[in-house]
Amino acid sequence: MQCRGCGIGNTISGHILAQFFCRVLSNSFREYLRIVLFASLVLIPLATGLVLANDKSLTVAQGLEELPGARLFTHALKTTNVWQTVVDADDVIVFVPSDLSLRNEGADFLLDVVLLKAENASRLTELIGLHVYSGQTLEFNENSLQTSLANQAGDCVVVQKSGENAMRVGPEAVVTGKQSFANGEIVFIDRLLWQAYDGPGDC
Amino acid sequence: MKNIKICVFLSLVFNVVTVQGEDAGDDGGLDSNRLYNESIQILGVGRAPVVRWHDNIRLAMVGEIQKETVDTIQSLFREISLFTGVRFRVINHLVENAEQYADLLNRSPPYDLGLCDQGNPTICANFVVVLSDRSSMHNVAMALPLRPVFQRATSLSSSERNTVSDVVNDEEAGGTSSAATNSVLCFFSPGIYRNTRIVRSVVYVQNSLSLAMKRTCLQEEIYQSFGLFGDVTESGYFSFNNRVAIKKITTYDKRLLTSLYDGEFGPGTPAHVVARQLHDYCYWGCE
Repeated sequence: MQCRGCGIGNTISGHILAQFFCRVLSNSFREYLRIVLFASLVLIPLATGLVLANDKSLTVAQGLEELPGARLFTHALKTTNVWQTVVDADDVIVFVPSDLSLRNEGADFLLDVVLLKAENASRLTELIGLHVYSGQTLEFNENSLQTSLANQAGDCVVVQKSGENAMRVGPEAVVTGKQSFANGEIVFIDRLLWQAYDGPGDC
Repeated sequence: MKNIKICVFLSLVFNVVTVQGEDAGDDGGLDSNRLYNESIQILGVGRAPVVRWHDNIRLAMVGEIQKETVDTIQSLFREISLFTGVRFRVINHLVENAEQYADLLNRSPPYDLGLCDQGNPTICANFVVVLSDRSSMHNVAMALPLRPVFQRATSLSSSERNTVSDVVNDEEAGGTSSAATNSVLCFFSPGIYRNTRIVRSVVYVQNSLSLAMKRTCLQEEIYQSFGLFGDVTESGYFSFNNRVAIKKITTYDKRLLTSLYDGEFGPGTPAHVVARQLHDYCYWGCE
């Protein structure tokens, strides 16, 4: 069957791709619907990065593994022993920066290459540890706009409400979304959490 | 079915070829050789060893510094901590302004930064950020172990300064201090031990600058104090140059700093090794 007039792309690869999709679409309307469904459920969330079903049947660890837009952080997390905390703990909170935000911050190289080396293992564990808090939930007292969380190493991070639904983590990071799971939640942030400032007024 | 498989295979092959063509191109794509050469220029000379901090930073701030500027400085150090693994703490001291600090430096032993913690005098600053009006700049510069030509540049009138600053820049290429081309707004002066480790640094910034310019100065001088001593004019990737302009630290500045503080690289690592790692990572594009 000849496919004409699809108009997808003007390169050789685009033409071949167009031919391929034309053939698939022309098989039946059912096939077409299947592709539309696939695109809306899988490709669009993949393209936008951090979209997950709010699924209480999944654990935080499973949620992280299925997260398409946070490959760098999840891979780094899984190479440390902090990952076991994520797997085992109840009420675990994981602050997760997306791959895109790491690239924008210039921290992609840090998590993708440098901190994965054996010589930098303790730095990686310390950094990742700042993002994982077990046995705690993210709750604010009625009269307070801030709360603090302490990790296993004793470091802590302050979470501040800065508007109706806006939140800030530590001095710099901004919360961009949240997803609840069976044993806790993933909180999406726009950058890595850094060393807490060692001064008055923090935790 | 066989045709479909061939279609998929070919489209994948052609897509890979297209991507390679785009990234390897000069028009807007990343030029990895240029990135490599500029990285070496920022780090020093190719075969010369890179230098970096090994101790944690004990930071002291001197001058009448607004809260906004203090926040900027602390935010910068936190950011640098992330990329270097070097922690920092702030030292509380009694010195009130730059003039007092210049006097203290003149009375202190050579290479001693002279500021210790009020609560624990055994903890002394190894990194000092000084902000003052322009009239104190020369006194601070004279009290530091800067090259004489650079010290003179901080005191001249603007017409004279245009000439001398160029001399300063030539002298300092690949050296230890930076200055603006038309006038000295800020500078840094690091102390290096045995060509491998940075043991102290003083950053000076004029307090009368606009907030944006002050932020630019602080960013550039503090980042460069961590071992990125060189400047590149018209760089495609790095922000370190001697032009007076409001600018921001780039993602490449941060990646180069990250590579410099890779624990795999021991003392004496040549600059080209550090630059090569960034080159290889960014070969297919870093944006």
